[in-house]
Amino acid sequence: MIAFSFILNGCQSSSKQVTKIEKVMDKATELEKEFSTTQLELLETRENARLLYYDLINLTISDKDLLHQKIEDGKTYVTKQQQLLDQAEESFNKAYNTSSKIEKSIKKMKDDAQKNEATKLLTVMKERKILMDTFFKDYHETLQLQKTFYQQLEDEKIDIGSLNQQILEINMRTQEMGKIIEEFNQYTRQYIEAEQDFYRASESDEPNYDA
Amino acid sequence: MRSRKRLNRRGKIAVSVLFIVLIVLISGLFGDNQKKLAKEKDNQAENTMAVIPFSVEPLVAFTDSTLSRSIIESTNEKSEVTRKKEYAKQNKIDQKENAIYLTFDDGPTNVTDELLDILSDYHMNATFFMVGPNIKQYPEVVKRMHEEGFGLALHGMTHDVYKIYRNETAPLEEMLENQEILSEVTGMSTEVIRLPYGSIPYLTEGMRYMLAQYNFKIWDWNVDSLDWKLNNKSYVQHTIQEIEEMKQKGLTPVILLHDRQETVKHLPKLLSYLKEQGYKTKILTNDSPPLTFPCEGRCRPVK
Repeated sequence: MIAFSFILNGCQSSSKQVTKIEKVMDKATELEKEFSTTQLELLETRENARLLYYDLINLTISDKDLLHQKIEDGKTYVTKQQQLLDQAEESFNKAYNTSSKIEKSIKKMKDDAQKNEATKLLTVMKERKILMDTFFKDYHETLQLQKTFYQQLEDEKIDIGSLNQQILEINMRTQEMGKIIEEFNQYTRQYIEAEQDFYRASESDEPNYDA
Repeated sequence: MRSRKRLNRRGKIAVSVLFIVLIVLISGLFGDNQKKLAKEKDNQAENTMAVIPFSVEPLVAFTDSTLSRSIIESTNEKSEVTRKKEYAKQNKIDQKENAIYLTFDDGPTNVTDELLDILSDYHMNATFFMVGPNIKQYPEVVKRMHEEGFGLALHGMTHDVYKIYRNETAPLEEMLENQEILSEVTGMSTEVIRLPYGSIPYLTEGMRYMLAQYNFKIWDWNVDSLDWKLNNKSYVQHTIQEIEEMKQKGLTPVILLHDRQETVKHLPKLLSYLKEQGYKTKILTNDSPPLTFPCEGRCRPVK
């Protein structure tokens, strides 16, 4: 009877870790919501910046007032994107730092199946973090190029070759960032699956009262 | 005093079973909660773990824009005004000196040494617009030119209209390569260039802008000897007539000649005329304001 109690106590211990992991993931998911919302705002601002660039390059050098206004608007969009990017970075890092706490709970888990699934979760989260770090770095650099572009126009230090080169670099980085996001999104889908697998594994060692 | 009752065997079994059932019930409830939470989790995960949208649409190249073209036109216009002023100023100086500029294109060749000998005999100077591969082929004669004080200038790499004008940066690329080759052979750097067949009509405003960004001075001519076309001594008389027309107009002649056998053969006759007229032959330098054919709506990309 005592031995049986101990066995049941072991099960309760795994359940305790599952519960802990759950709570952590809940919190992390909530923080990622903020990140997702900010990314949408960033997308919208970036699109507005792109439309503004088209308006700008369709002017002529003699449209001085309009040109000056567009340059100012361009700089404003760069600043706005910078702010949103910083926000997104902060909320993503918070979400990641929160979720990485499950590592301790995973180590204490006794059930192998649950432990494997939880480890998969952790691995996917880490991959997402690596990708997003690269994405943020590239985006910061792209914004710096945009800032330089508008500043050169404003200062009338116009070197067509240099301005064009900046646009080419921005385009190159955009393509790279696109690939990163594609990969990140794949990992997000994997994360959702891994989370579901984890909870299924957590359910499987409980007695089946439906039978 | 009442004695404590003890459980008999049946009682002990009953208590144990009750205890076990209690433990199992508690665990079962806990499991139920977990199942519910897992289901809630499924729903939550679908709602919050969103994929990130991102557009990879590239920006249009700046060089293809209206703004870029207007900047180029405006810059070129201002440069042209400056050039004309400075050229006019230089022309006044040249007129006083009775100056003339002899220029030889497409060399160096196997007759350049002879050409230099003739010029030296007449104590006359000239500027050579040279093609890169030819400089590599005849480095010694180019060194001689440099040592004897002749003008050294650039004429590109390919001398092919479809190559040198193939895109907006092609003329610049050829001249930079040509410049590098000349520098390696002589140690000197020149910004004096002439485009094959002249700058009209294929040297577009964009190409001119690019060349100007690297301080290249685009030289054309106002006297075409037609030596390449006439291919005999008649080019000399034709050239003399053209020179006299320029003189009447008060303009300093810049003569287009070619580094080729037939030209060299009859050159002494031309140089004799120049000597008789007291012309002072000068060379083109980086500081000379260039004689450039302006676009004035005539420039267009090569087809």
